[in-house]
Amino acid sequence: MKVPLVVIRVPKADAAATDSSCQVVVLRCVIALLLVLGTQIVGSAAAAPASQAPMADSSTGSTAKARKRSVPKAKKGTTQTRKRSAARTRRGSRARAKKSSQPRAVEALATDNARDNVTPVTAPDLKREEAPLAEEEARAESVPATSSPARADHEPSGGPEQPTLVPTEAGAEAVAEPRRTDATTPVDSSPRSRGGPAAHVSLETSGYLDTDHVSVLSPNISAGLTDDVSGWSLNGHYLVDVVSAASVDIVSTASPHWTEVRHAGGVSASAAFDPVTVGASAVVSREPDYLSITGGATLSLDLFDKNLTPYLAFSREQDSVGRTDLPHEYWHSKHVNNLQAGLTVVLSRSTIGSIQWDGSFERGYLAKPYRYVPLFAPGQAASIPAGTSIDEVNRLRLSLRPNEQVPDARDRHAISAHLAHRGDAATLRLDERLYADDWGVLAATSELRYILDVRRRLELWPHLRHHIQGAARFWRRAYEAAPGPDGILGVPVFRTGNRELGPLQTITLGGGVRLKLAEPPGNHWDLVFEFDAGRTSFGDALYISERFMGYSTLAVEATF
Amino acid sequence: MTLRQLLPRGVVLLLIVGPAGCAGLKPYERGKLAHPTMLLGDLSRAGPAHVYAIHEGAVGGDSGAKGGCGCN
Repeated sequence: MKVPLVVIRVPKADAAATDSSCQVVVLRCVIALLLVLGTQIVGSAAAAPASQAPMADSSTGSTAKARKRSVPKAKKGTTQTRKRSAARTRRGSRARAKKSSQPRAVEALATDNARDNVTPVTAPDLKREEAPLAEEEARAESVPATSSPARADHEPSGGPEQPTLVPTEAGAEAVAEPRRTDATTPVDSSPRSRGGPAAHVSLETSGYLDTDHVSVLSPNISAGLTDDVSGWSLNGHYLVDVVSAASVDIVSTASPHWTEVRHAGGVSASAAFDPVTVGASAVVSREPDYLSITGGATLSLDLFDKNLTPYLAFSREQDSVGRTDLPHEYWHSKHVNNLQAGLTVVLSRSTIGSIQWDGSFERGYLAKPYRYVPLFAPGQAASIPAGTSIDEVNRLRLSLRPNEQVPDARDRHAISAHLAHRGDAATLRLDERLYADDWGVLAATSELRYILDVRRRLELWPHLRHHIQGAARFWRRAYEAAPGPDGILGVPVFRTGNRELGPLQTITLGGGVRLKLAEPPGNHWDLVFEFDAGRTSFGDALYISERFMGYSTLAVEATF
Repeated sequence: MTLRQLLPRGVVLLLIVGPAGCAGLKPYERGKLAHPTMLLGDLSRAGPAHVYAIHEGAVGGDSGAKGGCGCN
């Protein structure tokens, strides 16, 4: 992957360097163009006759979970596994032939259920099937899958030393019948294999550390129930953030180092009423100086055999913002209405993409109550360079230091595109977001992941993220007091010390590893570790010009 | 960052969605699309997504910080 190396050459984000990021952006355009061309080529290959498609693709459609089970099995690469897979595919073809009058989706489910109900084939059965299966695999490469019924009629009968299974309607019936079970072969008796709901649990702990003396420890637990066949799900999560900070913002106001704990929990549910899927969610978050309650709903519609899925989402967030030393009745209020509209499109057998608009409409108190803004004498601000130290700022500033004040309304818009492409043993994910708001902030964010199946039970991925943004209209590195008509110095109406409203650029590079401890048949256990390191360049801020951060997550995921 | 500088990124975005057009696949042709890594949701876990939302002046595109920030 040369992509990350190219993008890493982004220069330091001062005001001039931000301009030069155009060069990097052009390079990224070329990379994206190559990526899309590659995607198109692979997509064209996938559109070739099904005879060239892998066996897994020729199997009848199934639920995501069922496919997930079948994919690793197909990857095992052992002769025995391939033969079993071929046998299942053949049975699926027979079932399709028998039920050709049924709608395709119903047919897919029926075949899939039949496949799940099949008990493993005994050793004698396998011996008996070996030769014809090999023949059938060879034929499958020259006969399109859609011709399965005809193919059944033309299967040759084997010689004496090559016993053949005659594919008849009775044979399809026999698939669903109980068969002898090989004692050495595990049977998937999990709820998913019986078509019932699957339960999943995830325990994870994240740690964050940066050079601005902020550290966060965040244990998180999530759990849920999902029934892919019935189309409903129920999920919940709970997390604790333990934030410890002595950042320049705190030190500059002579405040002591502090530690704060945030608790957040949420539930969500969804249900499918073909072709419509609806969902609802609620999140509550509480910390000593902030309370937030969010509720939302989602709606999606499956069109054209699920090749096109438009979706809508709405959520409302009601927040109370205060200080730990203030009674709650003196806290400020803030509310946010979030709207989301998007469209997911299946581009080929191995590529899917989506485009989405997000609107976020914030009203109320949008400043930070602890943040104070240093003021300088008229005409002095230009002589204060970016990154000026706390001591130097305190020496030069006026004694007056007002609270941060920003407009009480902010309309934010983002357009994002997401692309996922699955190769033989890897998945490429590419995300791009463009952002603009009525405070004048423009931003662009690019993200890339390349998830590689190193082994059957091991996935590795590099991760690259680049974010660049401009400043809000009222952003100043150093604010000057403004003399009034009566000679008294006044303060600017809007002033902020929030560096996230100034020009900045962040490059994050990292990766992750997923180790599949246990796979179906039976329960599913994954161990996931992720690590990201990032550097943020503040192009036009006091106190600090760059920040390095590290973030890691260790998670255990289980599905029963 | 100016609108002129944002334009090339818009081109990247268009290149991503440019090939959009229904492939018209049947359910049995979607073996690869059903892989867990092909779900188009935000791949960032809750923690990193929260950090991005706090440290960046932009929101949307599936990474948000709903429910406070722990950094007030």
